[in-house]
Amino acid sequence: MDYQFLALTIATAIGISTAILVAATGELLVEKVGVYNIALEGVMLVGALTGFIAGQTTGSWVLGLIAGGVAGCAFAMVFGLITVVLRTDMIVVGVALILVALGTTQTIGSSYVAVEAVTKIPNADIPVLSSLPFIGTALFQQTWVTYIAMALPFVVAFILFRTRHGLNMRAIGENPNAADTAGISVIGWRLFYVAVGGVLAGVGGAYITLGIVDSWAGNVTAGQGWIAFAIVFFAGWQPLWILVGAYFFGALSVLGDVGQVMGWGVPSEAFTVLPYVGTVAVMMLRAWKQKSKGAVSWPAALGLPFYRG
Amino acid sequence: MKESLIDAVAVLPPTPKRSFSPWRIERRPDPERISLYRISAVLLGLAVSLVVAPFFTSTPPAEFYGAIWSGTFGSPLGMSNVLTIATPLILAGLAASIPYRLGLWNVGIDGQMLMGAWTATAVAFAMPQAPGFLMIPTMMIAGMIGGALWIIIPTFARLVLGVSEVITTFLLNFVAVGWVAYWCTGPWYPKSSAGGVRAEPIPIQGEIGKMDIQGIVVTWGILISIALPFVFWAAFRFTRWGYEVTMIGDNHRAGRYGGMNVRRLLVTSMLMGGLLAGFGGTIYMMGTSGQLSTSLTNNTGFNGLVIAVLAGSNELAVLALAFIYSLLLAGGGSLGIVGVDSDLVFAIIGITLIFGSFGEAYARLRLVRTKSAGARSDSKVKEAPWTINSSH
Repeated sequence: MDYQFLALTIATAIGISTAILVAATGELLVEKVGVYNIALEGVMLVGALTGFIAGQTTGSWVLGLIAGGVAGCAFAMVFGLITVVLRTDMIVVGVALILVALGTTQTIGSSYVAVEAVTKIPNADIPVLSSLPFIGTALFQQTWVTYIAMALPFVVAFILFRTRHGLNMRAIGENPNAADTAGISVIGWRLFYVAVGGVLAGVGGAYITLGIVDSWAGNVTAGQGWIAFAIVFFAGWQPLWILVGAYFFGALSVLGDVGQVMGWGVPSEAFTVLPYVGTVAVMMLRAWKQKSKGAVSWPAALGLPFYRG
Repeated sequence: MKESLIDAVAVLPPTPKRSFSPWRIERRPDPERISLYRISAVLLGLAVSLVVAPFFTSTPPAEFYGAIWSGTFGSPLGMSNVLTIATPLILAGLAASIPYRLGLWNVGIDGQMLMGAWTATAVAFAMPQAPGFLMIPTMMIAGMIGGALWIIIPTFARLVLGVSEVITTFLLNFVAVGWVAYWCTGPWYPKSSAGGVRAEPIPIQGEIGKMDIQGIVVTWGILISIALPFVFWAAFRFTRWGYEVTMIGDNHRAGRYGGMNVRRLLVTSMLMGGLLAGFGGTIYMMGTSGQLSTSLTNNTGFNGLVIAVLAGSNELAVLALAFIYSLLLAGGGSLGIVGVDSDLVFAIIGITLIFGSFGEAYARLRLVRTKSAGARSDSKVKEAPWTINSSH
């Protein structure tokens, strides 16, 4: 494998990981306040279709991404209102909303299938860095969204661990009753972050249709929402590990294709399965290591409805 | 939830704070007939979404409903479809329902079904010359074992390491799909491919026979599927295992004081879930598809999970809901004839489920005025010494 090919492979891996990275970062924020949005795949799907339609109608990928974010936010809020406010089960509502998203996007999007995108997120080469020999091709010839996505986990890490706002978020996820006593509106914050997670997942979905595949097809997300969901667990709720996980999983899916071309003799399914096997293995390893300490890595109130008192 | 000193802070009289709304949602102290509210809401949701659905399509309502009717009760073919869909769906519902009694989530039914079907296929290919009366039972047992094996790791992770079974069972679905895809595209690549990721069909004598009741053609697998909910319904009432599971499902601690081995019951109910799922996948593969494929389950597992939650620890309700669900899926499938995307039925099911959540929330919660002075803090301060360690 020559260097140019390797650089291009890395560039592709980073490019296609963007949607997963953005969605996973959003899901991390949601889980930090104690909610897990299992409907992530559905939210991405809604964002993907809305973003594509907006892009086709307005001819602007910026508006497409914004529309994807807004639609994702609205759809996630349905999840938030039912689970956070009405305290119903997140798994059932999540499955229900995925079904709703699958059904409605297939029905509404049927006239957009196999239509070529009129607008596409362009690559933005960074002036000096992109002309560097190997690193330039691999890292600095991406879209703006990709650069922002790379920075996102750092921003989230700063907010979570260096600000009072982040402290409040973690308090809500670890011990909502204590946070409530301190005067934080648990329900309000949870709803807000479900909405933020929805925006990010919606943008991630729109990135798939406007930046990666440049078209709409039924179930275009093809499990990327699930991968994003798994990455949060893989990362042990640490923002910077989200970055590692997203690029690692992105690289695996590219390696599957590369392996086929190069004739490595490794079945491509091995690469598609690795993210999930890896996540389960990492979760078990981490739990095993932490068992003696009596600590858990997930937010202690994750998935539990909040009742005062 | 972690219990710590900081929890004690929560029972101090709350500091005065501004409230955005004069209303607050709280739990009903004695929620009653939750299942009744839930099921009524589901039926209401079904009615509403079926009435609204045609307006989202360009098909006239009469044709829309006509297609659904002829795809279900209206024709022998429709009824055959309904029963064919119901066969694995009932088993998937049970596979979720039994662990759910103990508060465990089996979100990996699709994977267990696939692995069950894979194991059964492997057995069939290992003894291609065996006669049917030998091959069929062997495949069924192999399928059950395959499904049960696929749930062992999540069970172990949950009971020994404390890793949530929700995420591990769920992620293993994708691993099962990858595994099956590998065998379908590699070692078991079919001699005559007809599209999709499918394996070579199983030997003909390994297929389950079909019955023909006045034009309704269905495998006799449906008889097993219909019988099993009754078997488990009886088991939960008349056997020691069933009694202990029911008891512990209501209250873990009471069961442990009563001398029950909670851990053993958790393991057996999880394995039972995997076993039933594996059997469901196998019976569908042996009766209907005749070959292993990645799309074998077609989300039957998720649908089964949903049915189990709606049915709320009642095996006969699982049976009834699985039948209603099959009517919807079969009816939705027939919408393609009148030019409606058959995936619309997923939206109908999803909206129905959301109605069910509303029904459940209505049964469990109530709105309380917060502005009436003291109602909140008084009761809390009085109850403080007893509520200090309660975790919700």
